[in-house]
Parts: sequence; C-alpha cells; structure tokens
Amino acid sequence: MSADTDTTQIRPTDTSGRRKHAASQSRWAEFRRNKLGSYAALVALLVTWQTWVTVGEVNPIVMPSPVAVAGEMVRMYELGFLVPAFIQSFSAYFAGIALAISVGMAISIGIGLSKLAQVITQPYLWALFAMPRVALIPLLMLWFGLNRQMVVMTVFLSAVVPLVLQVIEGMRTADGTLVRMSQVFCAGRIATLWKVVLPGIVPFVANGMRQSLSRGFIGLIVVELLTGTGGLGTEATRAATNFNTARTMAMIFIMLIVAVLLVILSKALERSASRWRETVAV
Amino acid sequence: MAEVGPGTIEARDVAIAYQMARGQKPLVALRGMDVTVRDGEFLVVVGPSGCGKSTFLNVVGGLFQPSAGELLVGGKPVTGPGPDRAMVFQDYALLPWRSVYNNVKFGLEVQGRLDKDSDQRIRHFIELVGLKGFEESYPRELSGGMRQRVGLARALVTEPRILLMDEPFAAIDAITRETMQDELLRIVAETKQTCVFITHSVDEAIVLGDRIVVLTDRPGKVRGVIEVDIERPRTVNTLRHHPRYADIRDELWRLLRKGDVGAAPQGIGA
Repeated sequence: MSADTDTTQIRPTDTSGRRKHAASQSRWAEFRRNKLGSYAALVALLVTWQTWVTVGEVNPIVMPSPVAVAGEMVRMYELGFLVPAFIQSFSAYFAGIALAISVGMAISIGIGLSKLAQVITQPYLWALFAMPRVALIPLLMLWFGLNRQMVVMTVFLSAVVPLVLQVIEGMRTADGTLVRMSQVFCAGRIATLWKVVLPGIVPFVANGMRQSLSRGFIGLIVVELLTGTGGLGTEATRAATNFNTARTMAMIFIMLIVAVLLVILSKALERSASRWRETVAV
Repeated sequence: MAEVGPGTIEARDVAIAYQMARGQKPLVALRGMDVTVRDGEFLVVVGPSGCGKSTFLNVVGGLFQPSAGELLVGGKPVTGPGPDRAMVFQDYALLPWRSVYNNVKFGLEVQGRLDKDSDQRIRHFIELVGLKGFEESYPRELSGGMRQRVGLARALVTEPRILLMDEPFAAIDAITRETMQDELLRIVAETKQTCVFITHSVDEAIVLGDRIVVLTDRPGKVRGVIEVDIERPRTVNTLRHHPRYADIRDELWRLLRKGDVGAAPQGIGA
C-alpha cells in the first residue's frame, strides 16, 4: 500500500487506470453524500401528496394527485398539442436568445471600446436591468400585435440586458498589463482587441449568457401566460380557466424541468468557457 | 563616448509627467533623466519605490512619449513600440488561455513574422529557457518561476536588440530567483542583447549588471552610476566570494542611502 502511494507521487500518469476505478467508487460515495437525500425527499413528498389527496378525498380542482398530473401529461401528448406547443414556445425562445446574443454582443463590444459610451450608457443599462422587463409587454403588444414576433421581442429584451452588462464589465476590467504587453510587442488596436481583450471576456460572456437564458425563459413564459399567443404558457392559462388543475400543474412541471435543463446547459457552457482560468493550486 | 549601435539607448534630459485627472497638477515621475546604455550592455536600474524606474522602461519600450527631453534608440528618436525592443513583465503578463507554445508565439504572430522557420525558433527558445516538454501546458499549471521563463522566451524569440526587464524576478521565491539569474546571464552572454533591468535588490543588481544606475526619489533622476568591474562569465555563487563584491555593495548602499529618510531599499538577503 505504501509502495502504491509512492508510485502515485512520482509518476501520477501511470496510475490513471486505478484512479478511474477509484473515481467511479467515489462518485457513488459523493452521490450518497450530496444527492441521495434530495431524491429521497422528492419521493417522500410525492408519496405523501398522493396519500393525502387519495385518503383525504381532496377536490381534484383544488389539488390533483401526482398520478393524475402524470396522466395528464400523457393525455396532452396523445391529444397532440403538447409537442406543437413545445415547438412553438422554443422556436420563439431560441430566436429571441439568438437575437439577444448577436445584437447584445455587437452593442456591448461597441460600448466597451469607448470610455465615454460606457459612462453615458451605464446608468440606463442598470435601470433597464433593475426594472422587470415584462412590464414592456403591453407596449410590445401595441407595436407588434398579438403574435409570435411580439413573443420573440419579449424574450430578446428580457435576455439582452444582463448579457450586455456582463460583457461591458468584462471589457472595462480588461487586464491592463496584458494590453500593455500587447502594445509593447507592436500589436495594433485590432490585434489587441482580437487576441487579448476579446478572449479575456469569454468568462463574462458565458456568465452573461447564463443569466440571459434564465431571464429569457421567464420573459417567454410570462408573455405566453398573459397574451394567449400560444405555447406552453398559454396552454397553462387555458387549462386553468377550464378548471383543469391537473393540466395546469402538468404544464408547470414541464416548465420546471425545462428550466432545470437550461441551468445545466448554461453551467456547462460557463465551465467550458473558463477552463483556462486560474484554479487554486493543489 | 562609445559608438552608437542598433542597441544603444540614449536618454537626454528625459522628463515624464502624468496628467492623473483633468484640472489636477500633473505627477512628475521622471525629471532630467540622463543616461546612455551602450550597445550590448547590461544596465541595471535601482532606486526607491515609485521613483520612476518602470516609467523609464515604458518610455524606452515606446509606451509613453517623453514630456520633455529626448530618447534615442539606435540613434533615432523613439516614436512608439518596435520589434527591436521586447519586454519582460513583473507579473508575467501571460495570456492565460494560451499554451506555453502559443504564448511564446505571440510576439512573432502580431508582428506578422510567422514563417516556416518560426516553429523551430519557438521550440528552440522554449528549450533555451528550460521549458522543453511544457509546450502544451497552460500558465495556470506552471509555477511563478516557470511562468517567467515563458515571459522571457516570448521576449527572446522576437530577437530584439534590446531586452527590457521590469523587476522580472521580484515575485519569484529566493532559490528559484538565483537559478533564473544564472540562466539569464548565460542566455544574454550568448545573445549579446542590450539589457535594461529594473530591480529592488542590491545583490541582484551586482550579479547581473555591467553598470548600475541609482535613481533618486520621485521625480527620479540619476543620482549615481556604479561600474561593476567583475569579469564575466559570472554566477550567483562565485560572485558572492569575489573580492570586489563587498566594496561594490557598500558603494551602492551609500548611494541609495544618500538623502534617504529612513526607508531602506529591499532585497538585502535576496
């Protein structure tokens, strides 16, 4: 055993096979330590909920059972409107996000290049960031009408502001020493921007996109709930007005799952973008 | 007066004043700086903190224009950065998203000098600074000493006539620092570049320099110049026992202490 430890210290690469095995073991241990409790609590909650509703004979309009909610998901799928609603929602969502990223990057790099533009725009950008941008929905309805274009614009406005703020912050805090280094080595303005400043803001872009994805999703659901222009949110509202509580809850669960998936996606994005960042030395 | 070569630096009455904020009195960092660095000479600049040592280096590097006076490199006034000069920075200034190889490549790349021999040159200088095998490593995976080796290789690979070094070993631990000093001596003995080296350390100044320029408090100007008449090749260890070492050290201390109110320079044991 002690001989093993010695080899590990001297030639860490040679023991990768053993390490992999150890890793799979420790992954289970970690799961047990950190996640098992959460899953157990979820199961307990569902069981309690089901028992309460069944034994207590609760009115299903007030509180349907989890089994009924799951059954409703299947029914919606079979009735053939879940998938179209899903596609409708997410085509608007990703269109809005794509618009937010392309327009947002262009705007923020432009502002980031000029100290004057930063000073002028900063208070307004923060004001926009602080206000609930879904308050603009009535205005967007007037401008665009009750259509998907308006939904895309809502997603865009919800998503673009945090990204712009993050990217400007990244450009503002660009490492002065690196810029100086680039100049000493005779790099021109454009080369310095491309090779030094922009790669440096990648973690800020990832962070901004993470916020954009979640803000945009909020914008999407709110606008669909309010305006009845189709998609998951509209289906949820429609079900509620028909006192179909199980369907409303089913829609809420679907949104929950989507939101969690978006968080996982954005975290992965952020991690891969900041891989080169300073890590605490082991 | 010595002949002017491509690596000669002449500072004539150079002054630098920064305008910190509109309406404020400008901060004078350098005033009446007069020094000539001979082609191929190793000049060390020492002085109290904030005396404008780094400012002087930035002027030679072409980042600042002198507010007054004249700065000539190779007999011509400096108007901006040029490929004849390269700099090594105190905090390394490596691009953290680039590998060692690509960091070293940076200067050649932005100067548009990449050709079929570049790859071989880059690898040669990586080997010269002792980083063979670390080409694909990232800065975060390297120790401070290794990072500065990358910084040195990045400067050397552009084959500048003048190497500007701004306290390059200040953030490196004492033992590694001595190794780095020896290696720097070995390298510049080979490349015969003009070096301007800034340091806080009296011992480092004597180990490396042909001459040592001592600056006054801000606004900095030359208080005195010391000739280090110790033959090369030198190494850190043999130098400590050289009969001239203690004398030069005393002389240097006397210059640094002159007109000094309390604050002693750092780096006594370094």
